[in-house]
Amino acid sequence: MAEAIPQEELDREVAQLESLKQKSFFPKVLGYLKLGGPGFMGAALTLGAGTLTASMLSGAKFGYKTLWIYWVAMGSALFMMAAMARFTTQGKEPIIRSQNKYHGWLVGSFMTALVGTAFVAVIFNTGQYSLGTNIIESFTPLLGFEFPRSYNWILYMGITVWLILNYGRGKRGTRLVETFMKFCIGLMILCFGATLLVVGIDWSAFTKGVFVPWLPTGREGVDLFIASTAAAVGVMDWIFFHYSGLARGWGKKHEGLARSDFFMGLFLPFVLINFLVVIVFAQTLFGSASLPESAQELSAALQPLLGSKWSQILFYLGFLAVPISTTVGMSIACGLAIHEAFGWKADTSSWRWKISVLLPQIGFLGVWYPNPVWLVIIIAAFLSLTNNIVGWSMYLLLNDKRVLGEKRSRSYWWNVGVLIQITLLNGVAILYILNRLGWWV
Amino acid sequence: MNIDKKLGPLSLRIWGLILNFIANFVALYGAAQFFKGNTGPGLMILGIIITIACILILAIPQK
Repeated sequence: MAEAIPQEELDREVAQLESLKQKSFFPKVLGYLKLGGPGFMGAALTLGAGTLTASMLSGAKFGYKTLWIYWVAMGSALFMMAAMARFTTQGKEPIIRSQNKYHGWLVGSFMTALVGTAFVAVIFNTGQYSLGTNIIESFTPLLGFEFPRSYNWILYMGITVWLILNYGRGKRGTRLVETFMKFCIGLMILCFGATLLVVGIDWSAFTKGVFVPWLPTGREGVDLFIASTAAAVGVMDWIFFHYSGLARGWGKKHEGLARSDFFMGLFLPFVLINFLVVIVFAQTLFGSASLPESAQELSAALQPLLGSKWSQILFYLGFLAVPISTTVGMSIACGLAIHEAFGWKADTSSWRWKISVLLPQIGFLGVWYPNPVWLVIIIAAFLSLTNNIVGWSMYLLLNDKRVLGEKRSRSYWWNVGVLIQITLLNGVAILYILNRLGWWV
Repeated sequence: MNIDKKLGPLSLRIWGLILNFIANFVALYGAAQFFKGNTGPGLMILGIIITIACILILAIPQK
């Protein structure tokens, strides 16, 4: 895909990066924000129906107590994202090809590309359609007209398909999608932030929730914890960041940009938006006798508590950005993964590419046959089993001379960070097994 | 220490990852038993110690 970008543009970007190095902190941050993109795309992809449902339920069921999970899970993920940045900018070939070569087709093409990315995109897009069309249905009466989900799915499909097919069509097409994703992230922060201003915040509970680890007991509680953790550290996020970086033509001089991009584009928005959602639901629905279990019902329960019509509209606008941006991100990840799994060249004008990226659109069936919310969470938990095997593979490749040559990890503490994340992924998978066997607390 | 040396079909680095996984299981299973009041904290502590040892050894970069 990077071949569609003229070399002069890439050279100009490298020159811009070199000049940014000489600048002071704020201009440098602004410059990196402008040049970044894949990190924001990753955040928009990760912040989907599953993550947001888990956050809403966390806030409504456990109040502020689970806030620590988000920064710990995403914080430990930064070490792996740094590994992906290294593979992208210094690697000899795309990572799935290296996995196939050194760890076998089962780990590379099957577990990483097909199960961990493409399969996830197809399955989870049902939830995005279901949530997105429900939001449009609930939102439009506030604007004075009805637009039921049995019709509005066509609009949802139209917008997402248009964006998906623009990706990879030269630098302009890729930039359009990246800008849209940045806009969605900004909209989520703005709208959920405004909602927070309406409902207020308990600073003492907030501080305790952020810094004092607490784990829910019982099967549902553990599933929720696993879904929140697995959502932050998924195979799809690693792969998507790597391949969207390659699609931008990132090379050896882009490693600094890649690192700042996943920190400012992925870590900060992910933590901030989840915090906002958990707090809004902790402030409003925590302690209620009977709680609904779907995102749609939870938001409907929240609606009257938000007071004015405009605060309700703002909440729904921010909420709508969640499934739309996730559908776009997951579809592109699906197309990239299918092409890599079978060793195909990603030609965005080909029918093979169009079919691969539009495969998750089958999720429109979710309008009529929605997945129960606990099914979404259980699938997220099951995927944690795939995450840890792929995590092992990434750690081994980061330390492999054949893959990165002299650019392999030489840092003891970087390896410690990656291993802590692997241990966290192991723990999530083990907790899932213990919980299913009824052996957990 | 060269943890990239082969031991049987796999390198020590991969055996270390497997041992780490087993230690994680022991730690979490031990924690569940301990918090249920079925056993003391011994199993959980053993799992945690092996986990920390595995992380510290596996973090050695390839020579």
